[in-house]
Amino acid sequence: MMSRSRSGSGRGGDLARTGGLSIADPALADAAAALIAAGYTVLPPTEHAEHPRLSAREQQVAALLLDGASNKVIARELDISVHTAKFHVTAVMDKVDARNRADAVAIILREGLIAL
Amino acid sequence: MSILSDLSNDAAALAAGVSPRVVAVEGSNGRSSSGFIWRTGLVVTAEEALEGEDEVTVHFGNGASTKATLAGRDPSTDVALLRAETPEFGEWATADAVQPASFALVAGRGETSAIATLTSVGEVGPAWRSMRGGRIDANIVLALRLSSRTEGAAVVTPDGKLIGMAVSSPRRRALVIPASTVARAVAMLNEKGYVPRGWLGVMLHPVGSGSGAIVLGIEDGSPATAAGLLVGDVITTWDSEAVGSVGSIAQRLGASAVGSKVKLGVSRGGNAHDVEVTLGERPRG
Repeated sequence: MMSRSRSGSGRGGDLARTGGLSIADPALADAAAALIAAGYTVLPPTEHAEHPRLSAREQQVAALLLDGASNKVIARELDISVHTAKFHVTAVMDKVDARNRADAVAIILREGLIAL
Repeated sequence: MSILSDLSNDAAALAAGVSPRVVAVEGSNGRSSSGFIWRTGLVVTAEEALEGEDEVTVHFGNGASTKATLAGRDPSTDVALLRAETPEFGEWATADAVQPASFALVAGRGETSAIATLTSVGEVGPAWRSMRGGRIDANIVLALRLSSRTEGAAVVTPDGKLIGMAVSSPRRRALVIPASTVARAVAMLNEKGYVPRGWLGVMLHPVGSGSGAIVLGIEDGSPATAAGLLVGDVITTWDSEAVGSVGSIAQRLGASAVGSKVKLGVSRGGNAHDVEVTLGERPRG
């Protein structure tokens, strides 16, 4: 399990040169590959890697959490049942290891888990 | 009469004077917090404390109560606005700048009784931005901890002017959302039912130790597209201020960001570029 700590990796001295990267996230890997192909230097995104990225549905739910939506409001906005809304909210909170909704929003914003 | 007795009597008279404006707000889950009549028909309360929002009851100082409907909530400033039939009030006269150590009355209400505490302002700092990008016009911290029943209480000066609304910080310090900040949220919620958020239209990921955020994806038709941001760009500055990471970009995308122009400093493969972006309003739903 990787640490949530912000220190340690990712500093200037750890700059990875072309070919030295191992990136699990496909979107990130694509971005890095495009840069590397052009001969650029890429920073290794080693931090926060223990939080899997959110599914498209979970991103919608996370965006509604950002607006303070209740399960009922999430259900209405996404045209799903309250039960299903609650299920998605729980899934989001589990994915980001959040204790509560406010905590989940803090982590989602800090780690860029939804489009801004 | 001693000065202490006079002070005590004056504080109690102040609490009694503001009491008709101060309400208890009870959600359908039975949890009660405080609020106050902003003006006739509009009640302000703490967004974070308001649960069970589908059936909200407002209890007044004269023992009466009424159902209220939610006009909207703004988690970025912790303001929720309710519509209800209320006694008639104009807008509350607001306090000018407050000083550390000046006295303040925190006036809230339980379902059956007024809850009021005389305290002092502990700290007054400059404007700040909440995690969700709300601009809070001053950092006012009171010298007490709030109970959950007094979240949303009115905070008033000894001459009865409104300083703002009391809310709990994560460490249960009592913060005051200044009246000017509440007023902006109320105007927006009353008009639109929500507070808009700024929109750049990018998926971001933190890079390095606070050295910016890399663009992982760009939404179609977004301000980022129009400005020519590219996947792989690392956003390092925002109007020449260093961008710590993703969170600091989120903080800059509050309501006031909508429609504004910003200059993003971008590292594109090690070369610095400036990208001018006109921020949009985040699409809803």
